[in-house]
Amino acid sequence: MSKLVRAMVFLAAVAAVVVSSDVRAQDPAEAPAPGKAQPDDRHMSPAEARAQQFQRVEGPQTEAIAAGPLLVGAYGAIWVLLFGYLFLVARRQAATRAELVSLEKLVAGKARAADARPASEPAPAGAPDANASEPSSGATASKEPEPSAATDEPS
Amino acid sequence: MQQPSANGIAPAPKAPGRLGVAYVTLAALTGVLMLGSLAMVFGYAPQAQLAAGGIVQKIFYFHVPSAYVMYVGVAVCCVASIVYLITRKDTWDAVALAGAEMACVFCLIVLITGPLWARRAWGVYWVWDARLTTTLLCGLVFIAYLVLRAFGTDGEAEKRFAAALGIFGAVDAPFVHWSVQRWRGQHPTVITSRGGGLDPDMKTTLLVCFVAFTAFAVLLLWTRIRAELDKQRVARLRLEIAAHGLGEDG
Repeated sequence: MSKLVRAMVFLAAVAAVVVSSDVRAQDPAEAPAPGKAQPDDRHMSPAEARAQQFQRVEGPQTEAIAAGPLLVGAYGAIWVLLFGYLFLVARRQAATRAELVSLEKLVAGKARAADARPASEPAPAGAPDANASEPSSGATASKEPEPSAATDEPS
Repeated sequence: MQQPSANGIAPAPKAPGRLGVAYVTLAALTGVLMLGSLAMVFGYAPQAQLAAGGIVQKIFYFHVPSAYVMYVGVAVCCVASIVYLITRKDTWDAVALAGAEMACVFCLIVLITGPLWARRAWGVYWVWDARLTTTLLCGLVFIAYLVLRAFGTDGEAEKRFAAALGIFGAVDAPFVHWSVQRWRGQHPTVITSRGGGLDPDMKTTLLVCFVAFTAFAVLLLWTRIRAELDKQRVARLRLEIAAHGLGEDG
């Protein structure tokens, strides 16, 4: 029984606190006056002002932090990064292009050798017959060489 | 379709010769625009108030267009990744990689120049402002993308995973853009819908910088995509040569 009474007293106390807070919230004495500025209407802080507007100023200004190193550092970093990236891309492309040209020469040389080879001479292992009546499709990139029986079986 | 040569290998595509007229024109135009924008930043644009950084505010003219090019790179990577996942064409993978690289480079520029400006304007190099944090996150995602591409193989699975990562990275971009409006922080909002306070001479300079950076972005994308396509051609050719036993000693 005493537990029940204690629980009821506790609930009543909680209810009293909640009700009193609601009353305080509706109290006209604590409500802002009609002319009083709301939080949204307050004047902007310097941080907000500088974030929302850049203005022209005339004449010298007193500066606390040296501007030169920051400005030079920023523009230096921009140009180093941009030209560094361009240089890397150009170097990579030059290497790729050189490789492409050498591979092209290799293929062309092998093709000339295959054309010049007499029909009686056997073609090199792995290469399809150059004199075949129906050449294979040009899209041979996806074709893998046929594995020989010797490679399938462990020695 | 290219006809195979006598040894069964499709002839290698012709190596790109001299640069096209359009490419050279664009490169020259970009150079002129970049130099012009630099001249305008230091010779034409007025100095801003001390609270905004004073003369250091001039970082703004390259910082903001860099962020814009970063967005372009992210968007290119995202769209190309989506198209790659649908079509599985290597060309789109090359475009996505070019976009990711561009996003990464320009994100790095933003993350270096921003703190240098902030040191003067805010007194500190870095604050965990919503825009700064989301930009850092975006940069980290695209660095992860490039690490994956650099250390992974050129296999199909890696390309698919990279495409997914590119799309994931792009999800962050809208948060970067709208973070200053949604979660008000220290970052300036001058050129957003909440801002607008920019001197006319500053606005003109910024516009020229935007044009210069747009040309630069197109040039970079063009160069990088072409390089990647060349690399893919070399890989295909090597595969064909290996398949036909035509190595150096073959």
